[in-house]
Amino acid sequence: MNKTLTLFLNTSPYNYENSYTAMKIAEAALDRDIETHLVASADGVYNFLKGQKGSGLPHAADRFKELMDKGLKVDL
Amino acid sequence: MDNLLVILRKPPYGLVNAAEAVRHAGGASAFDYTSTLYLIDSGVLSAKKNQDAGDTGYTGVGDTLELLSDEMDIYASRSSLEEYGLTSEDLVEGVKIDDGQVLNNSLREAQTVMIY
Amino acid sequence: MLFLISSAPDTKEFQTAYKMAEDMNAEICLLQNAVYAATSSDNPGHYALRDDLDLRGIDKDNIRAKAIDYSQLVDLMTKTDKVVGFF
Repeated sequence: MNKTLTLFLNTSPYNYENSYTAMKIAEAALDRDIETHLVASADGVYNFLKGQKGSGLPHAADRFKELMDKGLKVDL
Repeated sequence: MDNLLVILRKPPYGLVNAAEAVRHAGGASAFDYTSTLYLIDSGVLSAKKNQDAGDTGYTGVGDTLELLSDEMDIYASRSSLEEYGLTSEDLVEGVKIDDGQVLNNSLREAQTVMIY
Repeated sequence: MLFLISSAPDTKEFQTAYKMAEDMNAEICLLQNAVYAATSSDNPGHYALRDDLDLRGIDKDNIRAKAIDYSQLVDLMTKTDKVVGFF
């Protein structure tokens, strides 16, 4: 059976380090062809808001979009 | 049957954690999951009785827990309750107190653990 | 069972999660601010995330946990029967 990894993200993008950790785990899993899902709940949904203009730390929406293009499946 | 453990470790108001924990645990229970809500650290404050949300717009978490306890197991950690000076008499109906054994078993048996 | 602990060692969250993991005989991987504990003798964890150690300037030769990268973490996460985190 193929492996599946599901990450759960419930914190906002710029007040915690969880978004970055989730991105890097998802990236490593996708690189190994593991089906990877991310479920965002509570303030975690803000990671996927359009028009973010953060700087000085990983850009949540852009980085997650790149991962979605690589196959990350996201549910809000 | 699917088995969900939701751990709440934050206080009931000021953060979205308690509302989301209750929403997920209650929602899963409504969909026939075996759902357990476990209160630890300041999460135990959510089970305190006489919470009065009034017209604040918040949903009273204590009342919600009392209602949910009819359809799912809700536990509060005894050591956390003691840290906050709470006893069983301070809690809403339906919330059970655990010395740690239930937590260990629930962690072992749950298919999914959600932490708020 | 694998616990992922991310809170700083001086927080309640860290202490609760660490105790819970020990009670369960679970493996512990430290990440984010929890990696500061990797140099301690009390709660050093079994694994610590290399990127988060590097980000904080923590010498990997000076920790008791095994430093691992994200790929190794994914290995651990997919091989264990259950992952509990982030705390």
